[in-house]
Amino acid sequence: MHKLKDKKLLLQLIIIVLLLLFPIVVKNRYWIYIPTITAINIIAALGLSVLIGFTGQMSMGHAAFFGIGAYASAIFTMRFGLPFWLVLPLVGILNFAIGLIIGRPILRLKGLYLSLATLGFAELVQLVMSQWKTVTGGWSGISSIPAPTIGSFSFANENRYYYIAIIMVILIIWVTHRIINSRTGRTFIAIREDELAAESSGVNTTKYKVLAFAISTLYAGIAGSLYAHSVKFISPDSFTMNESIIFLSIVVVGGRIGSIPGTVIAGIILSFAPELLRAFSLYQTMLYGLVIIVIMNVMPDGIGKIIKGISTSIFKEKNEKATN
Amino acid sequence: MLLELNNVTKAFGGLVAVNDLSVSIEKGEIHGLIGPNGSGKTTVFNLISGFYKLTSGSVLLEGENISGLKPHVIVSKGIARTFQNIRLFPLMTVQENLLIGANCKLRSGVIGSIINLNSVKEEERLLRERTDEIIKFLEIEQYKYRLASDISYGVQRLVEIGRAMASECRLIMLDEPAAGLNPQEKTILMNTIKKIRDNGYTVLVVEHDMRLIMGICDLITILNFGEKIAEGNVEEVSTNPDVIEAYLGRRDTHA
Amino acid sequence: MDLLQQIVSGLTTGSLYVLLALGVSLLYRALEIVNFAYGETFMLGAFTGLILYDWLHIPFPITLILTMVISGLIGVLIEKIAYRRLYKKHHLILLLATVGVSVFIRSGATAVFGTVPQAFPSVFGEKPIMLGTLILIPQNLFILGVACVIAIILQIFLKGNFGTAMRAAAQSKDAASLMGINIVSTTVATWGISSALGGVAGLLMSPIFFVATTVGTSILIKGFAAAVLGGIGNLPGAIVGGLLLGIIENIGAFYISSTWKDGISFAVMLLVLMVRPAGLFGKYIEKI
Repeated sequence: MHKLKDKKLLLQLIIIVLLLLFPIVVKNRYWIYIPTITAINIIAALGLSVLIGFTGQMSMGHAAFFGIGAYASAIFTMRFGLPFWLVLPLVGILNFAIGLIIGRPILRLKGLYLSLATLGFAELVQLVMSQWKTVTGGWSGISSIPAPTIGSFSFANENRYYYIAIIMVILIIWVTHRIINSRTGRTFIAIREDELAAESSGVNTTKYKVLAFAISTLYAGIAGSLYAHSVKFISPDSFTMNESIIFLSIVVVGGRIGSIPGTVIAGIILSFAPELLRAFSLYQTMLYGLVIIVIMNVMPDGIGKIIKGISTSIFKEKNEKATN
Repeated sequence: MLLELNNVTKAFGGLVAVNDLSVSIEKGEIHGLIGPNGSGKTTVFNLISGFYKLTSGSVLLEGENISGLKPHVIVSKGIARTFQNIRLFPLMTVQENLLIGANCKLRSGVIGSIINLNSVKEEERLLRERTDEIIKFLEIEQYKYRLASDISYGVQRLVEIGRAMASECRLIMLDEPAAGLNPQEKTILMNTIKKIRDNGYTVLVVEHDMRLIMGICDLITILNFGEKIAEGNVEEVSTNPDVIEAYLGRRDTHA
Repeated sequence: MDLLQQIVSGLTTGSLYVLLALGVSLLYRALEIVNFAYGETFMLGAFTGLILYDWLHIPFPITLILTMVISGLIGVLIEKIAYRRLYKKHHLILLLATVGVSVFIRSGATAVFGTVPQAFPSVFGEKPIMLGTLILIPQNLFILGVACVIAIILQIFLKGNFGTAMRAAAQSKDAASLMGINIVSTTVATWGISSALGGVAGLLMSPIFFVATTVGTSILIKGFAAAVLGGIGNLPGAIVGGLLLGIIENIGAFYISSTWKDGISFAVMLLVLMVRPAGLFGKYIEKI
C-alpha cells in the first residue's frame, strides 16, 4: 500500500516540477501560449466531465458558461476596478449560482431533450452577448482586458501568466479528484449508472444533478476568467457552438465513463493538435473532425479506459484492497 | 398498522390498473401480494414507492400520509424496494452499492464531504460499519469488493436487498425476488427473508413462485384486474375458489 | 393586414423548416438519435443545387430530383463509414461522431468553395403578385408548393410497407428482424431519406437566401426547434411545427425586433422544452 502511494506521488511530483520549469527552458512565446490555453481548456473540460462523465447528464452549451465567466471577469476588473485575484473566485461563485438557478428547471429533462435545451440556452446567451452592446460591447467584444497584478508585478507576460494557469489547473485537478472520490462523487456515479435505482435507494437525484451542473458551470466560469485575462480580448465569436463541441470532445475522448487523467490527456491532445496542425491551415479543422470520427469508431470508451489499463499494470498491487 | 392503502386507485388514461384497493400491513409481518400477470402488483409497488401518482385514495405509513411524496423522500421515511429485473449500479462494488442505499441517512452536507471534515469521516466510518454488518448478515462477505456486474444473479439479488436494508427502512418491498433464481438460490432467499423479518423489518413481497409465498408469508393479498379478490393466511388462500379461478380459469362444472 | 402578410411570408421559411423537421423527427423516431451533421446536409444540398443549376445549367426540376438523390446517397455513405458501428454503443458516442462529421464536412466545404457567400439565381421570378393587399412572390410560393408536395409524398410513402417496417424496427430491433425485416437496410434507408430531405431543403432555400458553407450551423437549430415544437419523432407534428415556427419567427421579427429574430426560435424551443417537452403532438416518455 505504501509503495503504491509513493510511486504515484513521485510521478505526480516529477510532472509538476517539469511543468514549473517549462517556461524557463522554452522561451518561444507561442509555445508558452499553447500550454496556457491547454490548461484553461482542461479546467473547463473537467467541469463538463463531472456533469457528463461522472453524473451521466448532458450539456451542449458549455461554452456559454465559459463565456459568461469571461465577460463577467472582464467587466468586474474593467468597469468595477476589482483586482483579478478577487474576481476569479467571485466569477466562480457567480457561475455556480447561475448553474444552480438554470440547472433546476433544465435538468428535469433527460437525454436528447436535455441536450437540446442546453443548446438552445447557449444560443440565447450568445445572442445576448452580441446584442447587449452597452454591457458586452456587442460583436466588437471587450478588448484591453487588464492582466493580473500583485503590487507592481504584472502578469501580462505570457511566461508569467503561464504559472497562473498551471497552478490553477493543478489545483482544479486535485479538487476534482477529491470530489469524485468523496461520497458526493459516489452519488454522482450512482446516478449515472442508474438514475431510477438511485432515486429508489433514497438519493435526491434532482439535488445532485443540479449540483453537478453547478460544478460544471463553476469550472467553466473560472476557465473563462483565466481565458479573458490571458488573451485580453473577447467577443461572442469566442463562445460559439464550436467551442462547446471542443469541450464535449475532450470529455468524450477522455472517457465517457468519466476519467480525470483521461480528460486531462485528451485536453492536451485536442488543444495541441489544432495548433500543431496550423501548418495545414485549411485542412486543420477537417483533420480535427476526422480525428473525432476515428476515435469514436476505434476507441469509443475513450482514453480513460486505456490509461486505467496502463496504470494498473505500472502500479500493480498484490492485494485487491479498495483504496477508499 | 405499519402501512395502509386506503381505497387506492390508479388510472392510466382510460385504463384502470388498480381499483379501489385497501390493504393493511402489520409491523413484523411478511405480507405477500400475488395475482396473475397484469393484475396490478407492480403498479401497487410503484404507487407506494412514489413513482406513480395516485389517482385517488391514500397511502399511510404509520398514520402519516405519504402519497405524492418524491421517491427518495419515501425511502427516508422508511420504505425501500427492490426491482423485478435487478437494478444495481453495475460499475460499483457490492459495498459501494450498499453505501448508496444508506445515503438517505446522511446528515453532513455536500461541501463537507468534499473537504472531508472530521464529522464526515466519522459518519462515513459508521456507515461502513453498518453496511459491513448487513453484508455479514446476508452472508455475502466474499463479494464485498467485487463489481456488481461481476457476480451471480442470486448474489445480485441479495445485494439489492442489502442496499434496501442499508436505508434503515421499516418496510422492505421485494418485487418478484425469486425471478431467475435456481431452487438452491430460492431456498437461501426464503431463509434470508425470514431472517430479515426476525431482525425487525416488515416485508411486502410480490411473487409468482407459490412455494415461496406459501413458505414465508403470514398474510397474502390476491389481486386480479387491479382489485383485491381475496386475502388471508396461507391455508385460507390456497383453498379459496376465487383464487384458484383467477389463476387457473373457471372450472367447467359440467365436465 | 400586415399580420396576414407576415403569416404568408412566414409560410415560406416555415415550409423549409417542415422539411428539416421531418428529417430530424424521422431519424429520431427510427433510431432515437439526433444528427448534428444535419445542417451540413442542408448546406451540401444548397451547393449541389448551385453546381447543377447555376454552373451546369441543368433544368430546375431535374436539379431538384438529382439533389435529393445525391443528398440521400451522401447520407447513406456517411452512415456506412462513420455511424454503422456505433448503434450498440452509448448514444453519446454516436452523437459525437455526428459532430465530428459536421466539423469535417463544413471545413471541407470551406476548403473547396471558400468562405464568400454566393448568390443563387432566381428560379421562378422575383416580381411580386398582388392579391388584394397581400404581396406574394412567385419564388416563395414555388418553394412552399414544392415543400408541400414532398411532405405529402413522404407521408404517403411512409404509410406503406417501408413505414411499417421502420416503425417496427424502431420499437424492437429483435422482434422486427425475426419478422424478416432487414434492420440494416431499414436504417440505411432512413438515413438516406432524412438526408435527402435536408438536401432538398437546402436547395429550395438557396434562391431566397444565399449559398455559403456556414448556413448549416444556423439552420440546424431551426430544424431542431421546429421538430421539438411539433413533437420530436412525430411526423404530422413536424409539418405543423415547421410552419408554425416560420410564422412565429416572422411575426416576432416584425413586431419585436429583427436583430433578435434568430433568438425567437431558440426561445420557442426552450419554452416548449420547459413547459411541455413533448411538443404539440409528441409523447414524452419517461422510461421507468
